[in-house]
Amino acid sequence: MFKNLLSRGIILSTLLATPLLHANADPQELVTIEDLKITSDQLEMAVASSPFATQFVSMDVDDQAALRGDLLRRMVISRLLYLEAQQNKLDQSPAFMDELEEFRLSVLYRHYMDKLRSHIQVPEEVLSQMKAQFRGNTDALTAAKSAYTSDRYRDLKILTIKTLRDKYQIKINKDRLVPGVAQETVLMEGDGISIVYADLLKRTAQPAKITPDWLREQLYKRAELLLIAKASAEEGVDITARTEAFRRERLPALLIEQKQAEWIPSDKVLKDYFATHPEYGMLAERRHIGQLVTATREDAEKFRKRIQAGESLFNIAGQYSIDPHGRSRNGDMGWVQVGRGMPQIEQALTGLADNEVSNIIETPLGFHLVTILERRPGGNKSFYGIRDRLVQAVMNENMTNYLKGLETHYQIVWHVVTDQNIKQPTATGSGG
Amino acid sequence: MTTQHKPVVVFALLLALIGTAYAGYQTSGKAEKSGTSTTTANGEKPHTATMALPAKTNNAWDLPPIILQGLDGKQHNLADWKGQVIMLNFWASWCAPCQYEIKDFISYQEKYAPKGLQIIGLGLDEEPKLQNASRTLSVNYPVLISDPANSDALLEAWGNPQRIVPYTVVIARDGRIAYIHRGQLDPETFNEFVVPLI
Repeated sequence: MFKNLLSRGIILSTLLATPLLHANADPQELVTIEDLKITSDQLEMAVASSPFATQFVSMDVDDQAALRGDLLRRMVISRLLYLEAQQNKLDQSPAFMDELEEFRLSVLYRHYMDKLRSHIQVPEEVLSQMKAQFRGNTDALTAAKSAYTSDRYRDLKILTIKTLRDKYQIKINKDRLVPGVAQETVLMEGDGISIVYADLLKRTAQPAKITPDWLREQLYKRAELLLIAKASAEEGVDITARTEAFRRERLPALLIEQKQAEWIPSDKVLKDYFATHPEYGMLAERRHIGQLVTATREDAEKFRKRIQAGESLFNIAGQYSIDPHGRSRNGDMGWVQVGRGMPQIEQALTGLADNEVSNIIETPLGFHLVTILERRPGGNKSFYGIRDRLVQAVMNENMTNYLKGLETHYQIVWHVVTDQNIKQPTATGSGG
Repeated sequence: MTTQHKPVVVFALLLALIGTAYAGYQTSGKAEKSGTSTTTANGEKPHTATMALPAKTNNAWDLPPIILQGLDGKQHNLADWKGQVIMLNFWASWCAPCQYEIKDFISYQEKYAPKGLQIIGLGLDEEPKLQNASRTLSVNYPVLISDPANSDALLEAWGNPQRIVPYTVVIARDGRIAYIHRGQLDPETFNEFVVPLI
């Protein structure tokens, strides 16, 4: 039953009504996956931060519901991967723990510095001078205010770092800043804080040649981060929500990376897949098509004669084609791959010489006249030309089955009333 | 406990220190250059960075009337709201900054309508899209529809030939155009230029 829910487009009736961007006073639980909840406000946040957030607002109700359903489905998948990543103890891998620690430091740093900046206020008298000077020009006033704040922030930051250096009794061993010293060489130390040579090389892209200047710059950057993060942590800032969000984002991605390495250990897998799916490398011939559509056969006959007498199909299509899309483009249908058109039209195009008008083709849409302007030959792409697409295809195939497994392993409960064609699943699964 | 309080003290000290250093601060010449002086045709200065309106007036009711269909399906004349403080907001459904400020506008309308504020949206877009956006954002004020293909004259008359959205014209109770804002209108600007009129 779950596979139906996750593989089909779902339109959830409750999702139709929720207005976007208005914080729901009482967020509704939509789905629970084991003990993880997906609530309506989380879904709205996902909509608002999606690439289609702006267009979403002007979409029709049904389209909005379909997109919400699709996003919810992705959120469920992401939670499943998160649970499985934890089950596989990916969160205890040294690489992840290091990433998490770096994230923690950066959040603490940001928090402290934002607070520092928020304490800076433009004094009343300076502000009134600015207002007098930029009366009516809010942009200029904003710029003047932020220029003032930036100046003060810069000075305040330098002073803060100096103060913290004294507070934690930081000692910098400048004489040891030599490229190529032992990895464990201590370059900076103080109360509960230290930086060794390896720390500087680990996290940044290294230049072609490591110079003392480069090392010094890295050391000061790292020292600033650690000092401020430590001061921030000592203030008792609670960043668990942020680190939890990081885990939720990062662990599914790590699991996918791990699976990719497992499913595609070498290019041999991709080459084998390519051998059984040669269509990935085939590039069909493309033809630049012009088309005129009429409502009656008489009209089509009349226009066909005029075109054969030398008139342009495109001029006529621009004026008389009953296909609004074609009419707005003067009958220019662009480059179309062989085999992509309606069967009757494909048949008429076969054997048609360039710049010749076809016989009249009857379809449910009307009576068509087509012509081929120019052609681009088809061909075969090399393995390396389509390697990325093959990776995607192999991953998709494996992922579908993998997710089916996860869906039965973990308990998913949908609290929203679903489309009537889809049965509400009861609690199943063994639990994680 | 004591270690937790120390940083706060350090903070306060630093602020005091810097404060004295900047006591004599003057706004820099850099910012001065970006300031522009503007005057309307009759010499009256609206509090705005925009150029003068083309008509020789600063009174909204002397401009060509705005008579358009609203999202409610009825024909509306902007002059129907004469006597209130009107915020005429030009917007389009595809415009992200418009969507951000509309969320604020909804709360302004709710708070200040009883005191005489009337926000009017003027949508430069197709009706279905405006309908959807208005529904999705729960817009609580009238929205008039102006076909973007036929809105040149209207935009020109209201000082926006460049077709900037969002674009907001504030009309005082006496019809005077008190303020014109290009781009997203933030709450600070609203409080400074619109609230005193209400």
